[in-house]
Amino acid sequence: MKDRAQVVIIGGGVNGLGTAYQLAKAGMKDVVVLEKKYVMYGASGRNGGGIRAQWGTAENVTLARESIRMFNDLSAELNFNVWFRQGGYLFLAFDEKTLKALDKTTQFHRTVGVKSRVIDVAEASVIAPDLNTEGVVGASFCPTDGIIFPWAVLQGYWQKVREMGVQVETFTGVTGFDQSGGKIRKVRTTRGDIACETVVNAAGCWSRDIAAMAGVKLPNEPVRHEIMVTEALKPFLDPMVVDLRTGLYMNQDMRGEIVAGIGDPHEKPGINFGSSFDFLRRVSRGITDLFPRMRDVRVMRQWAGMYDVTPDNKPVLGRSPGVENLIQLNGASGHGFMVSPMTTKLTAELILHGKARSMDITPFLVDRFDRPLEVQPDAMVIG
Amino acid sequence: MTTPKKIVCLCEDVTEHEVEEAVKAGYSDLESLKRYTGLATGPCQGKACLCTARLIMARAAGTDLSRVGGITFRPPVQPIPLKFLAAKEEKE
Repeated sequence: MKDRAQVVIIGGGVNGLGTAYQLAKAGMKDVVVLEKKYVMYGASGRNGGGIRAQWGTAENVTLARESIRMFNDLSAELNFNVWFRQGGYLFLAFDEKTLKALDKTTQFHRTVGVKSRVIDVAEASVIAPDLNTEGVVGASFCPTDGIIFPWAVLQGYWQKVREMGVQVETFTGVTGFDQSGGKIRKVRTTRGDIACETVVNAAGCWSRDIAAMAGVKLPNEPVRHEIMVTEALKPFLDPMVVDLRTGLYMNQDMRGEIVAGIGDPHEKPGINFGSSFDFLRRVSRGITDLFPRMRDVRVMRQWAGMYDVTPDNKPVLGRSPGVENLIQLNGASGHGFMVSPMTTKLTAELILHGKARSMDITPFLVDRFDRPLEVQPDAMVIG
Repeated sequence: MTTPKKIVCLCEDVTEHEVEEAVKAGYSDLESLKRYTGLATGPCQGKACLCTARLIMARAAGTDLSRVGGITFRPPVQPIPLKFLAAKEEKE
């Protein structure tokens, strides 16, 4: 392992490797990525692969909308098929109040360049032919939303950055920082120290702990979300389907498996990768309610991952107050994967040019938490 | 003419050659190999292939089995139809 690098990135997930890629692409290749376990151990290897622009705040929409554009080019850029499939996202409303909220959200989407719309039950049946529409009063649909295979994205980035000269050090944990003059001078790891100019904190649910090592306080809280996968089936389901009664989301991945998750309002914050039988029962009820034909389909595997949740459900980006060369890239509250093309690009711009150019990152800065929240948390968080 | 193949993972159709190539490409622990080749992600969830895969990995990497590691086994132990999990209990 090198003992000196221009940039040290903490976290071998989609944000860490994605930032390494954006930097290397711009010519900055003296970059080390530190991963305390194996690549894909964290949320990047555990999420459901949903990609959507149907969010509730302008900032989240912009990040997601531009990221979808970038995901479209990613397979070609990385020379690695990331299995991006735009089958749309179908949000199902079962009461008039929810439908009204969807109507309001889609009207807002039209003002920010997202082609979502409210559709009736008949059209929802065409989009998802096997759907049990009993109780459904309407839905919102955006055809350019879709799904991706997270493992393939990570493999693609990982191979590409290694080819470009970036060092990815797995099984290498960060133990602390040497700081002076308001800057990190060295990153201490389980395999030795690395002197550096800039440090990126892309450690997912561990980001708050990493920031604390440098004396920076983040309000992020890790919250467990469970997920499961069935055996593979013949393709029958194009869109990601979301049941707004329960927060159930399900899609058919490119291997034919059904991947599904469901939120638990009683989940307490804290890192916990355990799987529960309660989840399995709730998700199975949710799936068979929506798709009775799936009753005999077998569950193959369940697991859990962590959302890194901020008070306003928006990511944390940019420089850290008091530690100028520590750049935050975390707190994406369950949608970090789908906005990673943009958040990594913005982070790379900040490192390369001293300023994020593609978008104003003021709404994502750490210091926003020092003031009372100006906006409501994004109501479109699910799962 | 087809080349003879030695299949390691029957569910996901991963060959001995592919495991060896993956090790050469730097996938040196079993968790990483799983996520690269899809090995152990099919209906048997690794019950039929993991011992063989670990031996091949250790041999290809010139290391011992402990360095190859294992994978986290996930519930359920056997695939279960959704209808059994979705069924209501009598008291409900």
